[in-house]
Amino acid sequence: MVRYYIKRTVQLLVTIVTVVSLSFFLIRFLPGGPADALRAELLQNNPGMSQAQINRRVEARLNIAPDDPLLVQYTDYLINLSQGDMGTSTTQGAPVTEILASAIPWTIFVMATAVGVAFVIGISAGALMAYKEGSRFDSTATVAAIVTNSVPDYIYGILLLWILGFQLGLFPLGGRYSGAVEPTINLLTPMQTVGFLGDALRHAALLITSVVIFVWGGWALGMRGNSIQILGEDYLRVARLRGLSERRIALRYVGRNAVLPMYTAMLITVGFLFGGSVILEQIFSYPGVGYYMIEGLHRRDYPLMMGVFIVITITVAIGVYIADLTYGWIDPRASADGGSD
Amino acid sequence: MGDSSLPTGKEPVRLNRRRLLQAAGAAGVGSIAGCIGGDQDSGNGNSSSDSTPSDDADFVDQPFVSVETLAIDQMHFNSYNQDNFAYSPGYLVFDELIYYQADVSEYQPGIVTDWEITDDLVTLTVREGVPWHGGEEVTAEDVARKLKLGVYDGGTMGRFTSAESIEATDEYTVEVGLEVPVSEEIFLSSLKGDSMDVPEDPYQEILEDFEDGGDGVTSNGEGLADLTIDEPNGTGPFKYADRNEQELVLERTEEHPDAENINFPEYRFRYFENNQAQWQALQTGEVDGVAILHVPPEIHDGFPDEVKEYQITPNWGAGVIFDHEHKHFGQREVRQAIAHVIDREDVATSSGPRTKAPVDIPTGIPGNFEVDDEIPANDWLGDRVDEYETYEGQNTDRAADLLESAGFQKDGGTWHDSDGNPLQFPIKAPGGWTDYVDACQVMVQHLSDFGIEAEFVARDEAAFFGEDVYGDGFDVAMFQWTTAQAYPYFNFEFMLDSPDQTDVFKYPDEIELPPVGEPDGAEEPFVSADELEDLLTVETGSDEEAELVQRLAWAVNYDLPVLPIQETVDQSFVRTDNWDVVGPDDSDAQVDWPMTYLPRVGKLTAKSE
Repeated sequence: MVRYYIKRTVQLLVTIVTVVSLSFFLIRFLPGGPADALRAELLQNNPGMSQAQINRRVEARLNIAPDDPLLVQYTDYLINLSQGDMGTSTTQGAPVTEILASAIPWTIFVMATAVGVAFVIGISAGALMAYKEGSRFDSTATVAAIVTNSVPDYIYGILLLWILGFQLGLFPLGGRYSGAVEPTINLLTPMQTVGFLGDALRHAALLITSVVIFVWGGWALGMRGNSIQILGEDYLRVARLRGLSERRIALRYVGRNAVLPMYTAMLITVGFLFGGSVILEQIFSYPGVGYYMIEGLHRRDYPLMMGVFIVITITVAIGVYIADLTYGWIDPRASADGGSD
Repeated sequence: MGDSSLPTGKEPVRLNRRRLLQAAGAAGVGSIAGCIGGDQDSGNGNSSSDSTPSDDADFVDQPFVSVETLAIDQMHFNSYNQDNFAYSPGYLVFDELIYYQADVSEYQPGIVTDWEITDDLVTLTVREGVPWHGGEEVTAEDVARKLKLGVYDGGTMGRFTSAESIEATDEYTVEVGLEVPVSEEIFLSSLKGDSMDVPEDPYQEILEDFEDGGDGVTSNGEGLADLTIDEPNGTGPFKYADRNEQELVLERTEEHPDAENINFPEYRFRYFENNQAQWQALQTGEVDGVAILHVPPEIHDGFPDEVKEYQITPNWGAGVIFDHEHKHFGQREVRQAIAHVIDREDVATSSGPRTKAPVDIPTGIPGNFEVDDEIPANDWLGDRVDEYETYEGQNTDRAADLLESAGFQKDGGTWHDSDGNPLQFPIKAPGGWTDYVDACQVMVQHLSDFGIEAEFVARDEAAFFGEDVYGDGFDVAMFQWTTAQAYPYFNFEFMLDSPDQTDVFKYPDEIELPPVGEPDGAEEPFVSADELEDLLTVETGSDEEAELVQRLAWAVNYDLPVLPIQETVDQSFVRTDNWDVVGPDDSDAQVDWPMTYLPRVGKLTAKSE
């Protein structure tokens, strides 16, 4: 068992280092560099600038970019990274760690809420579908789950934004909270805190809804499949013959055993949602982690892109890692690699 | 000659309706019940500019709220550093040297109130009584510092003067020694857009470093282009007061000479991430104005009457650029054929029905939006206007003749050169610039219908500039043909005698050109650089000037170094429910930007009861 833990931990570290290395080199092979991105920006925003002025600024940007050989840059980056230094963003003028530290909580807030809501809806719907297997409800819900799960979440995002945000004006069209609201989380001022949280939730509502619509179906179908499989198990017949209440059977015997396999999927989903936030946050102009990925990509801000890549990678890798290590403990039926020592 | 008296606005119309006060910092109230006569305010476009705001224009305690698309806490106020520069607030925090009225192409005084230009000397008079927000008065020394930094920074002025030749001769006079004679138009164009934003600290240190042969770096190692200033020492009628993550607050500068025209205490900039959010804020009244915002027609139609739109001509537009070393596009006939096939009107309508105008005659002269049923660009051509090729578009017969004369043949619906190679090319544009994308798609359609196999390729911005345009990786692309200057010299220079002409278009310095208006006449050598040198110094308004412009326009029109397709307008907005403001026809509303310039001249005031 201990050997398995050690093996998984080594795997985790190797995965992270590999992805970081790949990202490092891949983004530097993107066509066009930071200077070109700046030139594009200058031409678009300052049409009156003379060419000489544009060239001067582009050169200034080039001077910021290190001209060491790529391999030296790479080793420097890894050394700095191991000390928690992700470098300074070339476009935001702030350390990458600072930018990410302010963005990550928002992404976690949105994604955790979305996954939580989707999980509850999905599990309940799945259980109900299994319970009423073959009914009209079951077939309708199954179709709905398959359809909503097949359309990417950003499509819902655009539709919701257009209809509820723009046409009906029920929701804001971007941002994390209103300009007029002072961010307050303080138990001594409950009214302001509630006001701020409500405002933040309203700004995140459509983004969360987009994720929920996309994700719930997967959970529901998984839950339904697991439940139906369990409903056919012998021990359930035994339980019925023993005269246990339906409620007890549904929760203890069916629900529990059906949900357990979903645990791993949920942890992995949380990781992947960080990656999935890239497009959604751009659509909703929601400055979370994903938003900065696109910003960085667009402006060829290598340190910022690397920072976001690393955050996403580590989240996914650690999500899977925790799922692997704890699943055997949550569900004794699954014996870990090599079983007990 | 500049006129040192500032124009002032008219008396705001009083409305017997109490406005809902926006509590400072509270969210916008949105549309106010019952429209407050948006049409009976002074914004009917017929206001004269010789009246004054009434002395009893009540001071109204409401902020003007605008938008900012940069994160407020990351904004800075060093205009030489483009990353996160506070672009819109800068128009209020700093005074500009001179102001440009785009509709009449005239300059209004700013910090510089008067100018006198001779063959070897320009004398500038500095406005008296404008304070730095830090307390000192703006003097000729400050203006000289600004101009010198501009020269070191590679600005236009460096073409005809040097930093050593710029000198403050007394407290309010700056003399600029000219190394070559320069016309008034060219000199004033070089001042356009310059603000009085270089206080002694820290800019004097940077200037001295430049003068000592350095790269303009402060003792802290910050260069001109990477310095950030969080709390600016400005010169404008509003000064920096406060900011948080979402909002920047500017306060009226009481000591500023224009403050008497301003009857409201604060200007606020609120953070909005994207266009959609700004549309919504403008629609609901959460904000009072936006300096520049692209609003498509379907969105604009949904705005309430209180939202007043100002269309401002930035002398900016897109065209088709060619790699002149390419065996096909290096041929004049091929370029002309392409120009005959593309229907510019169709392209402009598709890429911006309310905001784009097709180039009337491709001459390289900006000014293609109609003013009183006239095309300003064509004024330069005088009575020779009919001698220029209009390239009407969809003229497939003429295009076919041209291609055939260049040895092409149509085979299987596609044109092939004499070696049997099809006439085909990808036309590249940045995928995120929607107006370029729409334009390209229409042009590709026209060309394909005619038998030229064009294909649109959307590129990432950095790749477009890094690999394609400036990396020798394009045959044909969508690019600007303009320089944001109304005076034709600058566009001609860009197309015919500039780094882009040699490195990007690879267009020859010398061409063979028939006489103006005689395409079949005997061709003679034409050297653009020589003609441009003459235009740089010629007297503004002279016959010689018109003749030079017409010759250069002919070179562009006949040889097509670049094919100008369309011009654009910028859209600017002010809401009238709480504000009295002049209409778009007032020349002061044609200065960048209505919401930042009009308050200075008393033409944007808070409505009292």
